[in-house]
Amino acid sequence: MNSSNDNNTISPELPVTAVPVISQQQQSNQHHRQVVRLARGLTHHESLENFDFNNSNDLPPATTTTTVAVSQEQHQEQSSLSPKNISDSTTTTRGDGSPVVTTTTTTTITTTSHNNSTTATPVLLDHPSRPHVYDQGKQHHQKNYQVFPGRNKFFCDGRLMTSREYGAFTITVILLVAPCVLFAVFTCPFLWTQVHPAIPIVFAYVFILALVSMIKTSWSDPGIIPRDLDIPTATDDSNILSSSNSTHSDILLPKEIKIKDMSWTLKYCETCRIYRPPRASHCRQCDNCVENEDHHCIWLNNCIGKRNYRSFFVCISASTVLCLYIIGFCLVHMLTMLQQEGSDMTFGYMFGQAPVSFVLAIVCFVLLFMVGGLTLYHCSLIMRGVTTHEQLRAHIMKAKDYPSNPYKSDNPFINITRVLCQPQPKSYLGRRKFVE
Amino acid sequence: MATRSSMPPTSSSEQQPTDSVDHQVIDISNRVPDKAIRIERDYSQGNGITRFSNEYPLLLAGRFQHTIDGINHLLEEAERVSWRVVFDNVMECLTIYTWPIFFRTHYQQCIQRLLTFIHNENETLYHQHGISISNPIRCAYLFLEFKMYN
Repeated sequence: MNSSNDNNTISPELPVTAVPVISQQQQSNQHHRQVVRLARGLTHHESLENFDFNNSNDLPPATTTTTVAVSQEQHQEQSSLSPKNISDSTTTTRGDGSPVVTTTTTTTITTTSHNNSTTATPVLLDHPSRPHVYDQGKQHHQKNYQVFPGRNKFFCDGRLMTSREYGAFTITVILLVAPCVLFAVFTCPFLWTQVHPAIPIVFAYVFILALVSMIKTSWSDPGIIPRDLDIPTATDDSNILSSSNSTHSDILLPKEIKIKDMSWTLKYCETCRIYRPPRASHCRQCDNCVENEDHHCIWLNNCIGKRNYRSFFVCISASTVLCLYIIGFCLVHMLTMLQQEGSDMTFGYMFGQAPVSFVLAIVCFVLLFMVGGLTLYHCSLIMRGVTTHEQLRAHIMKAKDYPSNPYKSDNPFINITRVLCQPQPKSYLGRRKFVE
Repeated sequence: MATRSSMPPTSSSEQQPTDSVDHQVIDISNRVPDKAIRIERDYSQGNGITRFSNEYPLLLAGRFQHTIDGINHLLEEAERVSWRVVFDNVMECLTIYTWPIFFRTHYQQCIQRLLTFIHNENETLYHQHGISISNPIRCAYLFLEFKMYN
């Protein structure tokens, strides 16, 4: 039995019971050779020129086959692999002939609160690996962001990332920068000399805060969950929903978990091949699962998720403050001009004396409705502790009586603190690390 | 890159010689693991703090338990919203996101401690038995994976 071998190699301090979970399909010399070749291929970067790609059938596979059901299929797929495919896809199933663990029993090491057929999350899984990229025998290390499968653009060597359509983002930047520059050029000198020098300084601070927040929200990782973490294996028969013939569209059944006292369903995302954690959502525009996704903002060209919600909120509230500020001080400018002259108030006169301020006040008044409305909406969402998606879902599914957000509390202050002040986790993607 | 000796992974539970590289588990992760144990995440506390499940049958006992408890403890300390965390975040916003450049936030410190803890556990205990704990951040904290090499 294979398990007895395992027991012999593990010292007695770690009690590993003889669970008969392994039945390797190629327990043979061939298996040994494949493993050795794989290991050498992964560790001997210099010797890759000698590596015979065409004949070896144990390359880290490229295609995204989701099951490793039949060994025959595996061999067929393997032989059709070529090194070029690897750069196009993201797969990680290494089940095609490399050491496969087909779990025959499923001793579940999951929480005992799992309670139905989907509890058979196999204990021992074959290990997913990420593909190397080879180019005609020449070694070519790529970083994770270069092989990322979602619809994102990366720049600065993977440090910054955003989504694809940035037309609206340029409009947003122009809408923020142009009125502020006009204000600074035309109204601020007046305010500096006639009213108080602190006013332009505060204005500059709020403007920079809004601009940097906008850029941070737009160009940072919203909390994308990496793909291919829950690949269905061959023995997930009880979980696989589709017919046995199709190998490309297996959907695992939803999982049940317990949060406090209620039962919550974790859905399986087909594209990303993970079980989505609670409050995560799959974004259609970016084609990624994002943790705590609030919404996909076209104006900022990025999803708003767990990692950039705070900067998003700072951006919109700072923009609202800026709008109010500009309106207020443009009015001050115009009224002060009027007072100085002492003549009767006509539009023509006001327009003649301070044209830019007049126009600015009107423009910002219009903008105030949009940005201010959005800010107020998000304030109410924060106090209730829900995201935009959850709010919309609750609106649509009024009949359901489970809460939209399992973690929310009834106290608005707790919600505010949690949403706005929760620590920002590190990015899960490891964008600048090399593909393993 | 230093050359690595060609040790087939199916040899006994020795690990490859550690090179002077800065990745913490680069040598183990370049080997091909046979199987992996997944500790799923435990959502039952209901406050959104990351936590890994603590209940297993006999398969994992003793040191595994201790490791998982340690990881849970560090994660809870990192993610609990305390006044220190609120202060860090407010200062970060007020200083236009330059605060984390000069002062390490509480969360960063805790995560660094977590990674060091995992690294130490790996180095001192698990690698000798051919097991390695993978970095939970790369799995988005959905599970904790103990990879087993033979």
